[in-house]
Amino acid sequence: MSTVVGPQFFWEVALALFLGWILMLWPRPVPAQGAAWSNEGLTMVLAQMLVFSLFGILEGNTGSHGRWFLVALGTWALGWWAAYFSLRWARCRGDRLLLPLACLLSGLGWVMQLRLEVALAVNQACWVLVGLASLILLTAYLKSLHQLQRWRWPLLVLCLALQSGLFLFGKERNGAALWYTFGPVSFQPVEIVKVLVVCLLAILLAPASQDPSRLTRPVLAMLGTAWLLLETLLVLQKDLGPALLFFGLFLVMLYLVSGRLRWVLGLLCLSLLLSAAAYNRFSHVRVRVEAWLDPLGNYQDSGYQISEALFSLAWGGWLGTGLGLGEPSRIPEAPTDFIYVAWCEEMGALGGCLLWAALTLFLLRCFRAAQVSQDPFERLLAVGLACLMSWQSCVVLYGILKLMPMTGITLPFISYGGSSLLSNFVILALLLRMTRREL
Amino acid sequence: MSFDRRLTRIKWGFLLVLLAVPLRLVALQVLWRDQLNSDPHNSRTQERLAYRGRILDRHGALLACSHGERRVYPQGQLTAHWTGFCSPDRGVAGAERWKTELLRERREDGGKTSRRGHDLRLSLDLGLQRRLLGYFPNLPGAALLIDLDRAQVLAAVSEPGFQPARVGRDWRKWQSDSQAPLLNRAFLGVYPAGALATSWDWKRLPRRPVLLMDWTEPQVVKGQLLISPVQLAYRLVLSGGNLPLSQLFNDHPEPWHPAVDLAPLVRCAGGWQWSCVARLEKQVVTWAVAVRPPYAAIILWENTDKQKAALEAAWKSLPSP
Repeated sequence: MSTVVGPQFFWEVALALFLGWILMLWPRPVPAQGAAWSNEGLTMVLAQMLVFSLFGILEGNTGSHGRWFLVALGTWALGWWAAYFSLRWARCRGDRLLLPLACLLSGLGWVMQLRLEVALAVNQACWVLVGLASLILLTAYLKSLHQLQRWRWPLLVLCLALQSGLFLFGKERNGAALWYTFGPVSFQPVEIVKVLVVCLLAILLAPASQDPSRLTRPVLAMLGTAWLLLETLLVLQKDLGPALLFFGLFLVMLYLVSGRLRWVLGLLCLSLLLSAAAYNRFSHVRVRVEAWLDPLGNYQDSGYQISEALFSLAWGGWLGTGLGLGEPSRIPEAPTDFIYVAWCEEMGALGGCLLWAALTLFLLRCFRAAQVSQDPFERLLAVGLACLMSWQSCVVLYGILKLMPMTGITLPFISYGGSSLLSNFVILALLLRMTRREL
Repeated sequence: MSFDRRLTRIKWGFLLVLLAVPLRLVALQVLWRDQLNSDPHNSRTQERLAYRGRILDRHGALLACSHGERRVYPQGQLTAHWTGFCSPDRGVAGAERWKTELLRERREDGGKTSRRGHDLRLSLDLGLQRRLLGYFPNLPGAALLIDLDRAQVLAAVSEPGFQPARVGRDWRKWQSDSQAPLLNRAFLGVYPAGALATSWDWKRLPRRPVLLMDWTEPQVVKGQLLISPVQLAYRLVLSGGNLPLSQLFNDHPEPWHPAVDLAPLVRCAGGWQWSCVARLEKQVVTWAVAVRPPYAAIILWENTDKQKAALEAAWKSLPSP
């Protein structure tokens, strides 16, 4: 309860100190090759200590998980160290702070999932290992990202095929068929499609980013076609979150390359008209808007989720109920979309702000990767990935805090969701690969 | 504008958009906390009703307890504005609301964590509360009896009251009742202050009440000071009851009368007493105050300028000391 300062408060102070440490390292000039790595390794150690102590708090409060999960957490830590050393051996160290920050976010997310639903956490742990393996492979064997540039048509076809295949083979959950299922493993193709779309955008726009006059009609036509096709598919599949995600992504990239704010504003107005039409036409859009405007009034049906999220936040207060002592499981979809709310209930507004700060530092670091990059294609790819993650975080955080209608999207590295986590690791690998020169 | 500048702009744009998140978080988790916690839909505050702690008066008399999934208020209307209610349809109010965490929190019982919540002991004295209620024979109004030294409310009356057990059934009726039985007049009622000095710096009262309940701010409407009984009580607490009369009253056209004898209530003689009539447009109220440190009583009758009749009626209804 808020009147008692629980152990989470001291943990939060430690997290704040850690973030201060990150900020201290932030602008430091990169040491020459072969120089001491101590800071980077130390940051990893600190991040993992934070995760372990959070698990300790959870155990102290509930005492129900026991030794096996400590072993799982140990495996998790070893996985990250494997990634760390493989990057070192592959001479692709990349950005110094991306890996520790991602490690922290994924660790905190995993402990929260463990607290919410043990079965999901077990599942997620497997996905983290798969993700780390793909990170290691990508950073070690992807020699040059420029190979991607030859594959613009296959990429587009692959995106559309993956997404439209859902009409035939999609597995339905919660009224929308968005998953492929292979035995016990289910996979959401949109998570990979979004990375591919960023690659495609970077390929198409890379020449124009050097010289805006190269933003020719054929390029724009291809861009527009890809965009329209994807958006149509997503809207038909009632997958509004990614539809919003791609929409914002295309607009931001278009502005970045062309510098024409007028185009962007025009498209924005057009989209507002279209969404007004969608509001009138589609009941599932209307339901979400109503749930957003008045969740408490629609408590019995559409507003239930948001109302419970609001109650959950209010229950937490400044300092939170303590990890494992709140009741965030009342919110439907707590481990995926609403994991941040669950975190804020148990760790308080203070913990919520600190997790937000960690996430924001990670996102800013992604942008920094774009800023230090020299190659036009790589730079555009980095911006695209950074925008993708930032925009995704904005959409989901705004949705769960009732700042805009809720759309189902995951929070990078923190939410439960195998395919989403995998795509985050792929993004991380690409960013690390791009910043490899910044040793 | 170059590519790099646009890139920087986009980066800061995202940061700006994300900045709304911590602000919103603080708003929801800290500022609007009470409101959300007392929402009638919020089952967190209501579930485990069976394990909710009891509410007791200062001597341990039972004011609220749980029988199964039902909340029972043995003193009913007498303490309704103290206990408030805890209803599945209408949410949580009163002490049930502002101490809901304490009432729900699991307590340690001999080293073991019990499911039952903590008991809440109020500063209320049930006997004094009964006597204070005697000043309101079918008259709407409010009264407070306070301990000036410890800044505690010993009794607080708001008439007419309501039956906490009937919140589910009678809610609509009470809502439309012009007498507003649900309003806690002693703390939230706002009345013209009459002869009470406007020169007093009421605005400088701290916003955090010592008396631990919601209250309104003193305000001035058409040159007339509006206060609630608890604000006067708080003023008395701050001065320890040692205010010279000249500080409390100014030259007001309305004469004040040492008419009502509150001596039995404050259990003493030798203190000072005072009453006056105050008006603002159609609103007419009668104030009565008696102070004898460490005790002070404040009584307010609404809608009456028939001061004498009212006071006599009140006097007659008073239980003999």
